[in-house]
Amino acid sequence: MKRLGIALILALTTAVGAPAQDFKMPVNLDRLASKASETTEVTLNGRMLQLAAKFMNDEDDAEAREMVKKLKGIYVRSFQFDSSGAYSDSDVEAVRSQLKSPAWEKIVNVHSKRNGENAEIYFKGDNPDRIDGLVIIAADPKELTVVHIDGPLDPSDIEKLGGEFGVPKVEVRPKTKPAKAGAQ
Amino acid sequence: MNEIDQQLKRALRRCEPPEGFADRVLARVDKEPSLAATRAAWMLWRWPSSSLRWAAVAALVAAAATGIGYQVREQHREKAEGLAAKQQVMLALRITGSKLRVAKERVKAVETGTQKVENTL
Repeated sequence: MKRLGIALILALTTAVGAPAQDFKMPVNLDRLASKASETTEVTLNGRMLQLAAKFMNDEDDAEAREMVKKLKGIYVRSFQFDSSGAYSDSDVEAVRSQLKSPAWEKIVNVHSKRNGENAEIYFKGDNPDRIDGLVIIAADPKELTVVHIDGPLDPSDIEKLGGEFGVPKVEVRPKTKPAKAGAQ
Repeated sequence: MNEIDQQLKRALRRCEPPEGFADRVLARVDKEPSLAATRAAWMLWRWPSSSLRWAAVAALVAAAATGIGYQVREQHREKAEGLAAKQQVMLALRITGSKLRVAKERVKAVETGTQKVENTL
């Protein structure tokens, strides 16, 4: 009975703790669609990705298919606005706040005071050879894009995604604080 | 007609089954679930009215055609859904790629001293 109690507590702790690592597109992002001049929304869960992979039969699709087959979800919210100030910092903060858990590591954080352009890239996972998730926040005064790829990605997948981005050269180390490379 | 012909004629002549033969066969079929289709076909064939028999056959054919039609529709639906999902995947990957490239350009811009960057590159 005591063991059962301990097991129950552990199970509950795990169940309560798990969502902290999961990333969900905040609802407030979807509200921005009404203000945006252009909206792109992609929501693909694991089942839809498996289905899509079945139809990625072209030779050109082979690499993407192998990557997509492994994934659990792809979610994109992209909004373009006619004027600046259509979205607030709190809209972006709702995304960032979910990425503060230890499971996520900020790999790139670019802020341009001059242009107001920001780009943030987060990786999930402790495994140095594999990434368990990717979130990109790209924010301009007239554009806000959030990309969430849920599931295992090899560094080579990131390279293929970003062309010559060169992320494979990044040593994906577990739990290291980002070092400031430059500042203005 | 020679002797062989006579023997064949005797061997192949029509003869009625013994009393209760059909019932015994059906009773045996009832005990074998795998023979249910056989029983259904037999019952159909024994249907007293010829028009009813053919109506039942037509109903069975219609049911089979409906089933096949449903399967074909499901395949079409799955294909349409799959192709739409593929387009969505390709769109998402293009956006992801473009944003990764933008991030790279902004990291490069650090060299010009115009931006503030934190990274582990």
